[in-house]
Amino acid sequence: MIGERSYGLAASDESAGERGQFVAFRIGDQRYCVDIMSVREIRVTSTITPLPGAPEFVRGVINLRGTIVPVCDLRSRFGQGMTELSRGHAIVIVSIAGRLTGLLVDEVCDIVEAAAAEMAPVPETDSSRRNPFFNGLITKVDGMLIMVSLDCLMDGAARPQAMLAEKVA
Amino acid sequence: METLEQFRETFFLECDELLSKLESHLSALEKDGSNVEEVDAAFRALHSIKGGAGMFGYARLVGFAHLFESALDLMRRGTLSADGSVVGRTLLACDVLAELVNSFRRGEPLAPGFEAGMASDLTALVSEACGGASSLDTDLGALSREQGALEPTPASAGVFRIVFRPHPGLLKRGIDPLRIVRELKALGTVTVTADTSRLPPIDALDTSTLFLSWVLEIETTRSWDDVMDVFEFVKGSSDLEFMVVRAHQEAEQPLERVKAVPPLSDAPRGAEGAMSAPQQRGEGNAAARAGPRAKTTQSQNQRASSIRVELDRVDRLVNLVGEIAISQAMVLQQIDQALIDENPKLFRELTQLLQHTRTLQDSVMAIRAQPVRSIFARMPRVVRELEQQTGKKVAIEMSGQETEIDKTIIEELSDPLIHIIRNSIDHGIELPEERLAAGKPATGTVTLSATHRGGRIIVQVSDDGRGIDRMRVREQAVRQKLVPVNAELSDEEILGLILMPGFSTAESISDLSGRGVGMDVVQRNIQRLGGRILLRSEPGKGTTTTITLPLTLAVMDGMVVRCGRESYLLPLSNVVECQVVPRRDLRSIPGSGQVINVRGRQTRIVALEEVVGIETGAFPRGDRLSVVLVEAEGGMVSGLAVDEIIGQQQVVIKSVRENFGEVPGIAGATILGDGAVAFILDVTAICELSAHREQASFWQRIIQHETGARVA
Repeated sequence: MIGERSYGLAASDESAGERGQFVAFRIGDQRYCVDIMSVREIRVTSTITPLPGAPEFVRGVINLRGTIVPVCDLRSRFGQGMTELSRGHAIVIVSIAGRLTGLLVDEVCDIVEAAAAEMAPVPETDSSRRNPFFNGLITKVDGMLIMVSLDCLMDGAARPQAMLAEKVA
Repeated sequence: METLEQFRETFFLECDELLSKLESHLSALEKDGSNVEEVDAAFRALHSIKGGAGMFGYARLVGFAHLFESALDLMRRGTLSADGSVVGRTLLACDVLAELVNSFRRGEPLAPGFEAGMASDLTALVSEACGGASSLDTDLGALSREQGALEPTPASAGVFRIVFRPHPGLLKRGIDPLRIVRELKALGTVTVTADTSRLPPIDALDTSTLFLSWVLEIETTRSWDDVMDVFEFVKGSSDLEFMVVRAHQEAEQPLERVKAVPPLSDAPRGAEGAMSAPQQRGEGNAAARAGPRAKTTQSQNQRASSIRVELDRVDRLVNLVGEIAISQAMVLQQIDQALIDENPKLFRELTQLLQHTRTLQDSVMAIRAQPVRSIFARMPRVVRELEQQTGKKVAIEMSGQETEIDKTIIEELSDPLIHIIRNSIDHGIELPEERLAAGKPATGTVTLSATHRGGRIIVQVSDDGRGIDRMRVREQAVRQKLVPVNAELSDEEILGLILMPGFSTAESISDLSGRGVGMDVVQRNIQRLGGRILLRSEPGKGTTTTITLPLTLAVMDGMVVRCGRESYLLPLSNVVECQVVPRRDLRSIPGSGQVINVRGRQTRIVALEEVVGIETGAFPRGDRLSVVLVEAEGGMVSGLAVDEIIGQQQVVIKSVRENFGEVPGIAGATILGDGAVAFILDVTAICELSAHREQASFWQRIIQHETGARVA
């Protein structure tokens, strides 16, 4: 089992038959999803300004109607290389602990409803190296979606002291 | 009930304002005890606090405020002379009052008897003034009784008739009309006639709606004003008619009392009464009940009407105006210059639009601006406390209290100022004997001033004390290993040491300063506000600390530069000048990077692209370099090599911290005309970072070289 970490909104509600709604998106061939309650809006790519000294998965910041919002390249965060920007890319604006963050994805697919029965934890490989970014799987007839956990997505993104000095070496 | 909570919140907000008013008026009395207007203003502030507290049933607060009020009342009538010790005690009472207010705000009652000492002090004051004859209790009626006793001839009583017709919603606002009747009763004999004609049948009766109205007739020796004061709180939510049935002889009033009434407040109120005051203000928000009251106090003071607005709303407005400015710039970019040239009318309209936007922006910023008076007013008290603790004699002089500055900056300015003033008195001003021996007046002077200069605010604290002993500062810095023993330091650099972390000259650590939290903290706080701090000191003559601050944290003038594909902003306050230099003028110093000669001074050049590290470039290509000379905190001038200097621009400052976190080297962000984000650079941090980097890589190379040599 996954331990203390719950694996999705509906499952954490503990009432059987409870359905959860998720925004599904695609990175490469794989579909992922995030809890719809944390999604604020979806933007087609706007100009991303690179943020000096930030880790690779922080692509930079965008102007969201006057608010500066950092953009996390999910492909890079999941260790699959950098996303090459094109016109079709989308940015899913989510709220993580009160902060707005943009998730750079290849394409937003649709809104998925899932019953508790369709949700399952990520099969365990090595408990000490469990991927902290995923908190479950949704299995549908047309395939599988990975539920993305937002909690620690931006951990280590802002590194107050490290940044510029790190490049010294 | 949510609305009641809101009223309470409003009341406490008002209390803050009223308390600071009370304190500043009392402080003013210290200088000029005969100033009746100040006593009067203080009295009004206190009275408003008492009134509000009464409404929420904070009996303890009312009790104390009432006692305090009695003392002030005696002062304004001249029975109690406002000399130093009396004013001193009222200021202490003001502290106690503030504590009481805070305890109610937090909902944590203070220990019983907290205010007892102060209360008996005030009672003593009052009874002394009244020749020890009357003793006070804290009942609401006490003031009137006591006043009655003081008035030499109990004047022939006047009779007033008041028709009090509250609006049906009065109860919903938490006002109990019974309270009005009770208050009136405290003033004299009251006959109440209720009008029940509007009462609906019992089954249609809504208990939260008021259907009653009253005719109140009062026979009293008190003045017209006092009677109308009772209705102060319900003015906005009732129809009131005042009639004089039988006037009493005004001549019987003691002379001082007449003098004490400010002409401003009297006139409009009399007029209101005569016109049977059908006031009804269109205020539907939470401040509604408190609103009219706040207005009255304000207008009595300076006759300026004002409203209370949440800071959030103003901020939204500030943001929006910033957006408009950006949209405007975007639109302008779309318009063909040729089209404008051909079309003089379009040109004219566009120019006007630009002007309006700029004015709009300035006006919105002005909403956030507040005079520095509110924090300056706290300083006399700081000085007074220090006088007592150090045995020194210090006077404080202040100027420029009306200088306006952004509200956020004002709030953050108080602590640094207190710290600087403490330093001045603790370290600067000498003991009276020393001063006399040095041929100075026994009383030292601390001068606090604020002025506008060149788009910035300059706040200065100077003293006429002994000045900073440079030798001692130096020795201390060496002892604390802040500088090497043999360092050659200029005067300015020595003074700069005081601002360094960990520096302290206090030989004996006093209560006040010298506990390690020093000027470096002050410097950091000021820097966080985008300001700078500068020390000047003349031995034997005194020290001047100058703080320069931006007018606002919301907009900034910046220099736009391009580096690779991105644009960056350098705060204009850091920019010294822009130059284009031939690449061959660059000289390289191992471990210190590249320098150029700027008018005889070798100046370090930092390649911006290398620091921001977006692209792997070093110095921009081409045989001419665009260099912006910038001054970091501490006065170090360096050059930043960029690809292109685009120009000057005023921008709206956006927070990167809000959604991301602190990024060293980046002070904030802004949105340029094309909608893209550009970062505002923290020049000081960038220069430091690049210097560290340079040195680190230098040492690394040396180490590599040495180890390499050994291996070989």
